[in-house]
Amino acid sequence: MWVILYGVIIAISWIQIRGLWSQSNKRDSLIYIVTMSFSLTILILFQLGVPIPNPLEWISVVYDPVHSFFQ
Amino acid sequence: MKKLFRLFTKKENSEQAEERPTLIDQDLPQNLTFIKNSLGESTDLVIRKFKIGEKRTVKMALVYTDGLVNESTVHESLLETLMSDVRQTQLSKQALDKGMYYTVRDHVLTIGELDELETLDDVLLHVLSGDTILFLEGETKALCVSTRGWQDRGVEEPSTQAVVRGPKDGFTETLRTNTALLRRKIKDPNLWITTQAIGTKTKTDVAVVYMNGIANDKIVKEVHKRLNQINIDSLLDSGYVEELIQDETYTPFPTVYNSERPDSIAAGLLEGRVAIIVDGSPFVLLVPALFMQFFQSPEDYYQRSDFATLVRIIRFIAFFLALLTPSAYIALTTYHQEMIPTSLLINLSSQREGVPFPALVEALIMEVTFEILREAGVRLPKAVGSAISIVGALVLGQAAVEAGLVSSAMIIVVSLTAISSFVSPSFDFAISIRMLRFLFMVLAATFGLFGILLGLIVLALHLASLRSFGVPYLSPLAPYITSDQKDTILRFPRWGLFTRQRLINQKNIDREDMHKPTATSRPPKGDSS
Amino acid sequence: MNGKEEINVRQFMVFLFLFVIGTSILLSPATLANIARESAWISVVSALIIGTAFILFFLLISIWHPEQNIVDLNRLLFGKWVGTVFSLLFILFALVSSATVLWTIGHFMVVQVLHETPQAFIHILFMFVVIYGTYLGIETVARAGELFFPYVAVLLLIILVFSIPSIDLNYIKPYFETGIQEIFKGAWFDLSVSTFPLIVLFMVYPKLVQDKKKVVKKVTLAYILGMLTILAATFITTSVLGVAYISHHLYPTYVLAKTLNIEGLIQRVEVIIAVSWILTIFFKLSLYFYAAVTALSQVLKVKSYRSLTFPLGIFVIALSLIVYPSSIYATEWNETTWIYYSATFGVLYPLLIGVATFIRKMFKRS
Repeated sequence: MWVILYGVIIAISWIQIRGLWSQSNKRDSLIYIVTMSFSLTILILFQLGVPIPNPLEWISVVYDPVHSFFQ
Repeated sequence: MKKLFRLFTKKENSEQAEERPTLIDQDLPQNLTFIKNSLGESTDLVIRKFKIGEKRTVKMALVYTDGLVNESTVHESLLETLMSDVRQTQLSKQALDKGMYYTVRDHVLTIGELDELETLDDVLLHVLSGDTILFLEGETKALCVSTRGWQDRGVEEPSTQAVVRGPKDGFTETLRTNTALLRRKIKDPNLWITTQAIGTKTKTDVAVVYMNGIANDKIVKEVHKRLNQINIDSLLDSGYVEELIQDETYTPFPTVYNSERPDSIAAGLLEGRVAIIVDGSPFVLLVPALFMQFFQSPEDYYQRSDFATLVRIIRFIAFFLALLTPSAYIALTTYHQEMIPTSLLINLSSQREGVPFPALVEALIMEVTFEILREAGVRLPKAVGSAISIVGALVLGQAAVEAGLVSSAMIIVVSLTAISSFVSPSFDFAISIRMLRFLFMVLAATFGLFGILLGLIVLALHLASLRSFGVPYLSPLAPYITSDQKDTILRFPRWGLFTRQRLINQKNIDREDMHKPTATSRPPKGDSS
Repeated sequence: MNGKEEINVRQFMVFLFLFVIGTSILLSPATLANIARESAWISVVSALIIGTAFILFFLLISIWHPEQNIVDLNRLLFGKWVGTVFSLLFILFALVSSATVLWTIGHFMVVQVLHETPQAFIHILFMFVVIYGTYLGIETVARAGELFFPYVAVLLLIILVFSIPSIDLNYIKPYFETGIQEIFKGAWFDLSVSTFPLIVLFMVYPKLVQDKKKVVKKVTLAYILGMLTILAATFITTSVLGVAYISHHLYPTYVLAKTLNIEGLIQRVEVIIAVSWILTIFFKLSLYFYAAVTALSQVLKVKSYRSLTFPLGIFVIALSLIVYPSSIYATEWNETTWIYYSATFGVLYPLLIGVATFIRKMFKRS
């Protein structure tokens, strides 16, 4: 299932990047590639069971003092 | 290499022809040879040479295509007048002085539509369109006489979109007949018809018909623009045009409406839509076409309004039944058994017990079988048709259950789907449901009702993104327009339909006053007794 | 940004309504019952009153800045660097909200309906639909919203109305037992789910306010209607099922629909509530996601936000798979961090904008 998913994602990305590239929109396609590879890396890491830091933890750290203040 | 070369020369030739059209020569035989050679001595070309004038000195030739002209017109109005009647009438000297060509043009020919041609290319086009061309020796112009008249089907009852009540005439393959059918319904000077020839080879006449002052100018302009952009060699049916001018290619839904019924097209014109008639096709196109239009039949307006509303709601239900019954069956039996009432569930599972396949496979087998049957039913000769339907219904249906291949509930599901998909008044629309049904079945098999719901969301998004000639496809439902609801799912009584659809014609919305009949206009009650 | 896209006031009202009831209709009753016990519905009433004031304040900002969305405002009011930082924080907020909402729907489906399907695939399928909608544009999503709105409204109404006969008023007694502080805390929670995140709607339609008086009235009406729906849901679930029962359930409204039984005719209609909930969540998620995508494309100066839709969508899927390890974590995080996080963007940030606008105006005049 996951392999199919990656196939679909890469196929769609390929079509979209080619579309951007043909419009000579190189900056946008670069942004596309960077964001996509970042997202895909996280997804693959998750699937492989690698522990990924949770951004909610960071937000909690920021808001902990506020929370304890209101308590 | 040879092919390439030929292509190249061909292109050059055509370019030359466009630049310098062959003019009609003074020499009559030369013209005739040119025509003969151009048509490759085709056997249906008729060239009749004769001489006219008091002393039979003026050579003339008459050229037409056999089968495309009205023979009696050619004989009576052309040959007879030119060859015998002319001699009996006394023409003034003045008329004769101007030359034989003008005499023939102004005094002799007893035919309404007349044209003058100067190039042989035009001559060819008109000959092939069914006109008769008159050549005179020594003239660089030729007279083109409209003698079109070929065998056609005649106005018959349309085979699609049958109604119980309402006019029974249908469009034919001849463009003129079709425009005449519309003119007979709308006798208004504002019914404008513009014609252009499309197709480099077929030169098919395409007429754009609209009500000036009611139709939105932008849409009319857009239709012309898209028609002008068509660059194709052949145009054999209005289906070609539909595919070439529609807004979105990759959609299962039709964004152009077509009808065989003049009343339906006339009603569309009066609502401000634009009709496109293609010569050679009895299916007239109507744009813009909206989603809700495919749930409406011309008959709705001939029936009582309350009944028409009920029928429209039934069509709407049938749409969802045709789309979702098999997938709902799959989802319920596979994922959501707890939603089925217990007694029914026991029945269902006892039926499904012997069936070796999962619900999806079972449904796919039956649906595909049915689609094959239907497709075969269209092509089969009528004599064999009934035999096949017996095989389909009895053998495949009952025997499949008895053999334990499918459950009998599945048969009910398939028949319900099949019947529901025929309810839509538009055949095109039923096709889109047929295709989408299979997608929904797969979704139901993988994610149950959740998958169906997501499929519906995607469907709604897709429909909402469609436009037909700039008009949102789902209007007046989304964007919601309150004033247009009176003729969408509901059908208000006639006196209530006092405005046209807002998005289709933005300027001339008000229909003529359609007041509710007041008490004074009714005959007094006591009169009849 | 695509300047051509426009939605009308009616569509905006539908968005607002669906956004407000979005997650809250299923989540609020349980959390509120935990916090404010029998007075849960009083919490919603106070949330309604405070929230209306917030909506009016939001509208005031959009009247002040009729042409600017959040990213424009940041650049205008706080300068290039600080503004960009604010915009990035806003984008993070929208992305985190998208991910949490996506997780919520995935968890609901796995727990209640599709027990055997892996949660990840529900996330992926759902997000693909959202990506498709966002890709087609907010105008399309708005039209789909108009199309689905009547079903959502009617279905919810049916559930709520038919539950009225089984109301037992003893369940909501005694009133005000938990004390004002707890009631206020409940109201705060409800606001943090339904009202504060409405700030993302600024991204959708900054040019909303054209016919000022009419729009203010209509938008406020839509908001009040949404909150009244939540109020009805909270009141009815509490008074039908009882606090003790619902505080142990994650989705009490769903349980309510399950228990509904009218003369044996209408029963097992929980799927109806599931359907309408999925629909509202879809629109809420689409709005969050659209805000994130358009804001990011504006910050990065990408020509069309459409080119960012798919990569960012995959990012939201990935994020949604890691945000909440469990539902206990989710509840706790919502009650300890989300309420402040959401308030930062829903209260502090608009106030900051208000103050900055005020200072700017003073500055200009002098």
